[in-house]
Amino acid sequence: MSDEELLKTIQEKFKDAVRIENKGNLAVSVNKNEILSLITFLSGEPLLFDWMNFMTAVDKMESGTMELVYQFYSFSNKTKLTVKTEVSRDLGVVDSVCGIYPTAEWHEREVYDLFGIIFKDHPDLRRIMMPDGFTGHPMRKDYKDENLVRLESPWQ
Amino acid sequence: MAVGLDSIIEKSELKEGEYLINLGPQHPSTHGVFRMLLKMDGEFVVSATPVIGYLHRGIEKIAENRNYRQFMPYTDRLDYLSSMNNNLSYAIAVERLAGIKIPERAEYIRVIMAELNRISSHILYCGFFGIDLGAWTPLLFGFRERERIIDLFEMTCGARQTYNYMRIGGVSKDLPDEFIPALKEFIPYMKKKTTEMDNLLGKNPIFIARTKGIGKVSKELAIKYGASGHVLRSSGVKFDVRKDDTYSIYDRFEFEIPTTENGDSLDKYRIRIEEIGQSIRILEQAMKQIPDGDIMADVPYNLTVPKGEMYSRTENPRGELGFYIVSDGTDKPYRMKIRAPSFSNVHLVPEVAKGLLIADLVALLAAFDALPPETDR
Repeated sequence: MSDEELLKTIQEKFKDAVRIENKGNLAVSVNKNEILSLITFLSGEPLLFDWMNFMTAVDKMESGTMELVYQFYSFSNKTKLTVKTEVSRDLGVVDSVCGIYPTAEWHEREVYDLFGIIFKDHPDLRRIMMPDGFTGHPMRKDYKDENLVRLESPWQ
Repeated sequence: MAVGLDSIIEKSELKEGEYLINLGPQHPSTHGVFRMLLKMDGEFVVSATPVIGYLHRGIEKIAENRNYRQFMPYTDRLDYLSSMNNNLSYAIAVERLAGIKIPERAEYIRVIMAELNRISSHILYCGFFGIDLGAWTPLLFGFRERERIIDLFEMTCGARQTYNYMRIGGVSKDLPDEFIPALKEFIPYMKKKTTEMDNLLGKNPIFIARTKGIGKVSKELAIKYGASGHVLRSSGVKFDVRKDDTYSIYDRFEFEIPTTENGDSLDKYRIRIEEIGQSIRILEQAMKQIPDGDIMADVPYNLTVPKGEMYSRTENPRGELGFYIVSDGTDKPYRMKIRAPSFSNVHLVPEVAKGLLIADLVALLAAFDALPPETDR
């Protein structure tokens, strides 16, 4: 299935899906309210995106948002797709896709742990990488750690 | 701060006769710092909860402060048993984003190194599988074969485990004159030793009895949990990034993708042994076709990648390793996401570990082959 056909199939159902620049494959961006219904649509007929590669977040400080990125692959159609959405940087909340892709459980836990985005209806949202009792979300661009001391360079 | 057992599994959830046991981060059979909380009923596992993050080093955060050339040694340390493949994956990701074309000889050298590393990783996997079940001999046989491969690598780049050999734009050093004759001697030796390892393990009735039917992963489960590599192929999905989403010059070589149907631990072992044979086929073809020429493209010293983003993936011995790089036009990545195969593969373990004995659980973990440095990054 070519990129144009795929984009048309998605835009028929989701009028607000916008095409984004991506050098590898087609990437669309939707509003965060529509993300669960879009992903439910993608996993069924006729597109059959049954395999989720990963799910991550990109911290965009200037625009004050965090961008969530989902990457899918379809074994039957041999096509790749990237889906993006934007959430606010402070206590952003978005629907969880664990019901459709169980692999998203750990990916969403990692995004919660490192970025601080809350996923609604996630069965077990707790920290995965950082030790328990850790405060803060390290992958944010404005994260400061009091244990990290910048040493003065002697020749500067 | 230590995680008590209570915070993950409530004591009140235990039925009568059940107890909690910790397959702790320090354990000879868990392949590194990997922890499982087991709810046991007598000798049988009721549920298994993996706890990861003991080896989290923040590599993705470090990537935001290093330029693209400086990040190459960090990729060695992701999955330290297949360091050349990690280098290759990262180099291909940056080259695709920046639009760099690399010379022919460099492509062939990269494929030779990647396949040699795949063979060494697979033969070690057979060794570790043997020792987890109590067989001591395959372990040392695996290390002996790996020593021959490491000699070839040391001859070329000077290192034995973390090579830092590939560069964005090619490779760092050319093959010495002794390399191709040594490789020609190595190939029949490796064929003989693969048969020997298979005689020790794959045709051994004790090994078959301990792995057949353990941890059956169905096709739907493997796809839904994002499994890749031998976990996916043992459940009947014929997918290999080298063939279906091809990169580098893998489309010039003839090789097959072994696939099995059952999805249990014996099948996972079988696929890895077959893949050694296929890698040897690729090596023979690459050795014949390798041309002379440059080994490095004309890449500026301070490489800046134009603005854009992309996800690019390759086939590692353990599955699909991918890099999602967001570039903002400078010489440092804005965001680098590493898609590690072991992270998704090990998520499957709780699903298939129900009802097993602890000894079978160890066989299951050995078959899945999840390395903590890759899981935790």
